[in-house]
Amino acid sequence: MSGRARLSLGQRLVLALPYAYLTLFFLAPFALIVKISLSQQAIAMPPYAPVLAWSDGPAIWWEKAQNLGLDSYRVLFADAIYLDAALSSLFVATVSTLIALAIGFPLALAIARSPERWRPLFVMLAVAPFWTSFLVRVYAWIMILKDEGLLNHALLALGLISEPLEIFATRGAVILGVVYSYLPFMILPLYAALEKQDAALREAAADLGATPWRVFASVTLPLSLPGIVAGCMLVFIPAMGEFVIPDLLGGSDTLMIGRQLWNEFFSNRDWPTASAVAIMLLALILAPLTLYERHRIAQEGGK
Amino acid sequence: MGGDALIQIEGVTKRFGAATTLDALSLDVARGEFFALLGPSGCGKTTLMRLVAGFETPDAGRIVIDGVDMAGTPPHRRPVNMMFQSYALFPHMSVAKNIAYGLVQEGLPRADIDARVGEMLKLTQLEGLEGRKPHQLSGGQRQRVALARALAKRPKVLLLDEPLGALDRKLREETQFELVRLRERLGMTFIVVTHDQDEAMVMASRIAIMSAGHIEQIGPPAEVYDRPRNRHVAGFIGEINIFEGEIESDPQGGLRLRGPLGVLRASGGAGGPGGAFALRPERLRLSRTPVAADNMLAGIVRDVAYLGDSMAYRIELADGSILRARSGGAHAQRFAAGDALHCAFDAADVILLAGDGS
Repeated sequence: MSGRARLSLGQRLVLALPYAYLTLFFLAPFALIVKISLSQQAIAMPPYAPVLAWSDGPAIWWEKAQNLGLDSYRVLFADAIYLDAALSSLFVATVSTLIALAIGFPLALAIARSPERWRPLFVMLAVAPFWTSFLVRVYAWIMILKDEGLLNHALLALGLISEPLEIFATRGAVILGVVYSYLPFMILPLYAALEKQDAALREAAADLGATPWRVFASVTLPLSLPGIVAGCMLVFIPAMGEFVIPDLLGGSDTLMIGRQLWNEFFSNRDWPTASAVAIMLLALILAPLTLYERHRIAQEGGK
Repeated sequence: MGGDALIQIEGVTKRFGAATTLDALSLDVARGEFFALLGPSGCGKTTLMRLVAGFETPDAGRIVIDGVDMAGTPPHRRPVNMMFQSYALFPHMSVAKNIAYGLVQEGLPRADIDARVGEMLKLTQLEGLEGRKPHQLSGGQRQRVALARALAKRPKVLLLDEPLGALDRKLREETQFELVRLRERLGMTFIVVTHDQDEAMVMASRIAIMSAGHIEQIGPPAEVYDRPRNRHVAGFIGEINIFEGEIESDPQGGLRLRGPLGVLRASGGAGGPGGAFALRPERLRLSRTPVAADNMLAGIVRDVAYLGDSMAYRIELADGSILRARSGGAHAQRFAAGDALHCAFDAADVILLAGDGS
């Protein structure tokens, strides 16, 4: 593989488009957020002190730069609510990801091992929830989980419980909502990884004396690792920033960083702090991603 | 094969849906044999091998390996190892780990495993490559890793499914002889599945020719070549000319066949209904002038091919059919397209083919 191959004009253009898109819609807004996070809250429109402007010129830039500060970030560490929210998000996202993996892996495996003509149907069923609006589905969970909801009614009617269970407005309800909403994102990459595995590899392992469990542990599982990582990322990352599910299913005490972000922006109108929270969230997500990427590159280099 | 049969396949039937892939097939493989299952694709040879390995279960009949009925024994407890057509190397493991896999499953001590892997690397000339991953190897190297991995456990029987199919011609020919030497050295029983008659002829001590789920003929290579039992075997192994007609006994001894080309004579044997005469192309003697012979056919050369060590001719006979002839040797007389020839052959060289269904 030579990475130094010259690119034709057409190839450059094709590559330039996504980069331009990312610069315009990701990098530029990100720079804006960084800028706001360094500013001070102000009663103005927009509600923060103006930061650097092109028209100012170097002298005023210097003066203004003195006023820029990490105040918003200090707030994040001074007030325990942000750290709590971050830890709570981390907890919810991690637990939800693990539960989704525990449910998704056997499901994906079952689909991948089912007769070939049935597989498209099963995959379609796995993504069928996407056919209705996300919000509608989360609202439906309220109807099921609340104290006088379907679940409690059913359990009471069956005589399994004597008093309604308090599920709604708890962290458990949030985790349930996250697992439910993001499960298809776990199943699809797992299915893709499992489905393309050559059945002859499992036969070869069995032929060499591996019990079915050893075949799974030494062949099926390691070969589906890329799918596991992709599925976990696809669940963990949105779960970290999720604010609709905690807002609808969580209680007032269910802190999550995405919800905190929303509060800062729209309830407190504290844009600098909100921006700082956003950057903290990004760091929390990027850290494991970077670690994984480094590990992957090290592995490939060692091949 | 009597008491020395290592593998006994008795009346094995295998169906997939409505199709019967193997039809009450019986077969013995002796200890230490290099046995080839030869046949066109879809004849059931790979299914038979997968039944022996335990990946499929027979619908009827039984498979006995070394005196033990294998019914209900899963693949990982059978004393056979298989080399897969696709090699099926574990892509996430190094060459050494691939070879060690079966030994690790056996729970051998680390030192023994390392010693055996070293031995296998040496045997298959893979020393120095033990740290590579399969995707960093050439096709020939991968084939040797697959072989080393299957041999590492020293199975009673090694099954080879089209072991040389993915190699180029030159490497394939070298590897054929290597496999023969390897088997002699290890004293193991090898069963190879192939659709390549040359491969079977070169490597095997016995060949079973299969078609449509049953065995047409079993015998050493020379026997199946010189005395094919029926049209199917004759057509599958080497080139052959088949003469159709009514076979009757000849008052002067032997048999004779009345057909569109007149009367042809064969010595010995007994003709059954639906049978035919057959003749290998190299048994023909070609000349421009008639010679005295048991059988003589006149024809015109249509196509000539120079094969290096011999000449191949396609000769059109009086009834419009094509006769294939070979003449070998540097001093053989050569003919050109359009030449009118006399094709002579001895009654003793005629192969008597049985009719279908017998």
